[in-house]
Formats: sequence, C-alpha cells, structure tokens
Amino acid sequence: MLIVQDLHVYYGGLHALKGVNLHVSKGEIVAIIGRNGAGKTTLLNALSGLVKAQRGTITFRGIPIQGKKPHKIVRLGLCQVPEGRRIFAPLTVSENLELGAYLKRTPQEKAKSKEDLDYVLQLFPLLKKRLHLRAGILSGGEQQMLAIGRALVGNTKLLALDEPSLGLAPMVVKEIFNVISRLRDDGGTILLVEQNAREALSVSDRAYVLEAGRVAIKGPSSRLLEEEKVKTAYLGKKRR
Amino acid sequence: MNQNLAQFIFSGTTTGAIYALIALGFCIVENSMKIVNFAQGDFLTLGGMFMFSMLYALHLSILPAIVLSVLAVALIGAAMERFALRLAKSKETVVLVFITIGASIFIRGGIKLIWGKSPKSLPYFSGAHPIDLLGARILPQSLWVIGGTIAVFLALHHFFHHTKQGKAMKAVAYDPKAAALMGINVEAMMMLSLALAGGVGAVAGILIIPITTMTFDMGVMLGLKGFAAAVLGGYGDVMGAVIGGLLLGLLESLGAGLISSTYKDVIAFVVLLLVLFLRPRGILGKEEWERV
Repeated sequence: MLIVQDLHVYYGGLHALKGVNLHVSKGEIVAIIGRNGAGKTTLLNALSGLVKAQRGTITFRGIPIQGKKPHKIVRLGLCQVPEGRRIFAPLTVSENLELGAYLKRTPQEKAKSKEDLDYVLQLFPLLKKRLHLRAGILSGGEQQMLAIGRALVGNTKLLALDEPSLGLAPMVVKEIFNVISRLRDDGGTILLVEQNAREALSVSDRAYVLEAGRVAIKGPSSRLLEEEKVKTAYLGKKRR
Repeated sequence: MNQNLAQFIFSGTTTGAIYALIALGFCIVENSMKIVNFAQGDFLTLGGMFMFSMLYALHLSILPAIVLSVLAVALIGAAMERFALRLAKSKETVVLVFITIGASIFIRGGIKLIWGKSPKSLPYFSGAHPIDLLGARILPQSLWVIGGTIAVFLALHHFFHHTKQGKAMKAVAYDPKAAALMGINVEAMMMLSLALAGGVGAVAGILIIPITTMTFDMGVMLGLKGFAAAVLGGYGDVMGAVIGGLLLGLLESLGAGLISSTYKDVIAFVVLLLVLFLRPRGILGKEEWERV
C-alpha cells in the first residue's frame, strides 16, 4: 500500500532523514520506534506532504505522492493524526468530526460518512456524550480519541498515528492501544509512530527502529521484542 | 432636543454600519490567516472607484455595476493573497501584516494613478429626498447602508457558523497544519477569505460613498475606524464586529452632537481605550483557554 524508497529530508542544514526505506501492506500495523529526534515525526510529515523530501520516492496505492500538496495526499486516503493531537479547540466535538469528513461531498460519500461516524462513536463511546462541547475542554485522553476519530471519518485507507500515547495516563494509553488493535481486526492499515516501544511492538505486526534518520533495525515485532539490542536501548530493564 | 437626538442616533447608526462592514472585512481575514489586513480600508475606496467607472465610463445601470465592482475588488483581494502573502518566505505574523501595509500603499498609489486625486461622488441608489422618521430626517441611502450591513452580517454569520467551508476556514486560522491533514486546501481557503474581504470592502464603499464622496486616500481613516470597531467588539467575532461598529458610530455622532464636534474622534477613542482597559478581549471576545 505504501512504499518509501531512499527518502532524504533536510531541515535547513540538518539532514533529518538519510535514506529511509520502508513499506506497509494492506491490513498491517507497522510501528516506527526510536528516540526523540530520530526523525519519526519528520518521516510522517514527509509522507503527508507537510515537509518536502529532497530525494527519494513515496508511492501510495501505486501513485507517487512526493511533492504533492497535503490535501491531495489526504484525498488519496493517507490520513495522519499529528503529534499533540492538534484538535480544533474552539470548535465543538461534532464540528471537529464534521471537518474530519471535510472531503466527503457526494451523496453516497455523505451517507457513508454517517456510517463512519457511528463506527467512531462506537469505538469511543465517551465522545458521544461530549458531541456538543467545545473540544478544548476535553481531557487529554478524550482529545486523543477525538483526533483519531476525526481521522477515521475521512476516506482513510492508511491511518498514520504520531505518538498517540504521548502525555496520557497509563489507563488511557491502554485504551488507545486496544482501539488500535480493534482497528486492525476490522481490516484497517496503520502506521504507528511511538516512543513507547513496548506497547508499540506488542500491538504491531512489523516494526522499524529509526536512529539518527536511518532505519537501524527492522523485522517482525515479536522478534524485535526479544532482540537484545532493542531490549537494552528501547525497552529499558525487563519487567518482572 | 428630542428631535436632534433621533437625528444623531440615525446618523450614528449609518456611520456605525459602515464601520461594522469594514470591521467584518477585518474579521474574515482574522478567521483564516490570523493577521490584520491593513488594506481593508482601501478595498472600500477601490469598490467606490470601480463603481464610478462602471457607471460613468461603461454606462452600466446600477445593479450590474455593483455586481461587477464587488467581483473586481474580490479578485484584487484574491490576487493580494496569491501574489503577495503566499509568496512571502516567512509566514510570521509581523511579516504578513507588513505585506498588507505595503499592499495598502500600493493600492492607494494605483488608485491615484488611474482615477486621479480629485474627489468623486456616486449617485444615490434611490432618490435624494429625505424621509421623516421619528422626527429625524434620513436619506434613503442611509437605509440602504443599514440594510446592506445587516445582509452582509447575516450571510457571514451563516457562513462561519453553519457551513462546512466556514468552519474549515476557522480551522485553518486555528491550526493550518491540522486543517491540511483534514484535506482542507489551506492556501485556497486563505485566498477565498481575502476575496471575501475584498467583496465586503467593496460593498461598504459602494453603499457609503453616495453620502460622503470619495478621495483616493479615504481608506486610511475609515480602515482605522473599522479596525477600532473590530477590536472594540472582540477581534474576529462576526457579531462583535457589528456591535463594535455601531457603538463607535453612535459614540462619535452623539459625542459630536451633544458635547462637541471638535472632540468627536477623541470621545470615540477614549471609550475604546476604556473598554480595552477593562476588557482587553473586546465586548464579545472570548477568553482563549484550552487544555494542552
């Protein structure tokens, strides 16, 4: 579904991505883990067209998308839930969801949109009670649910999540990851960027470890969970 | 005395309606780009000048002349976004605001070159015969001004609160990156907002100039008054723009009529300062707070 080849991104003088190769197939959850500054967010932003890639190719559903404007990439079905949630605080929860379905214009799409909305409200029953509240007053966890829901009501073919667990309480983190595996069971394709390596590896099928703008380690998540290098660098001490 | 009071209130409402229209123009650009567009007053002059040419050079009748003038200024607004604001290397607010100041000077220069420096006037829409209303004598044109302002206000209120495009525009203002990730074409949205601001500015000019006459630089003072009205009402709020505009117009008119016409601007701006000391967000401005 998504193929990234030899992707290079420079920020001013900084070489943030140094030739990244990766792919995501339909129905997979692929995790990208790595430390702060490893280039994870830059990678997602390059995929979404928010930052320009100087070299390399990105192919999404067979279409080259590097250099395309962000809204065109969303139209193809690559939807990103950005780091820090970035919900529209002055608007209500339901208006936020309405904007998530912004690209749905034809009557068929609008009908589908209602179905998708029901699906989202079933995933996140909490949001249902908050539909008419201003999104800015939701708790951090609720905002994250709204941000994910907002991406799911679009014509999403691949959901890219940037640090969905960041700054959330452990209970909420668990809930978010439950939803992620539920999405996979329902046939969704997900690219998950996380610092929380243990959770990310538990929920995903395959993973890439990004170090200083390069893919350092890759493989099935179950194998990475057992790999010594990953254990010491990213999983911390073993839990008893 | 009572009769005078009614007169002051009507004339204040008319000027206030124009301030409100200019404030609405500021409000539109605030709701997409979060910048102050200092060319807003010049959009008003441009609208009047185009109207002048449509009527006296092309000999069009009043309705097509209005439509074409509004479209022309909307186009100039869109061009200002496309060829000035969008090309800026830095998207810092200060840089963009300075570009609007540059655009304002550029537009005034252009008007002076094309239409000259001499004052011009436009005809009343429907007769010059004053109507007696509650003891005050008002020009029919004043009713056009007030009616036009109400129409523009209702349209914009509907746009920002009840249409997807309007909400998308506010989303662009709040967080352009997140808006782009919803599939919203951020640049097109900004261009649309400048076009709308241009159109609203043109409407203001076409409505008021039959009463005031126009010169190439009239947009400067009117723009400032409209800006003050927008701040007074709560910058960026559609309803606030109207309330701020009417309040400022009434204060000026009542101040001039009841106290002294020498001090009419002083009275208006003192009230503006007082409101802002007590309530920095303006009358309808909302506290901006959110959880992070």
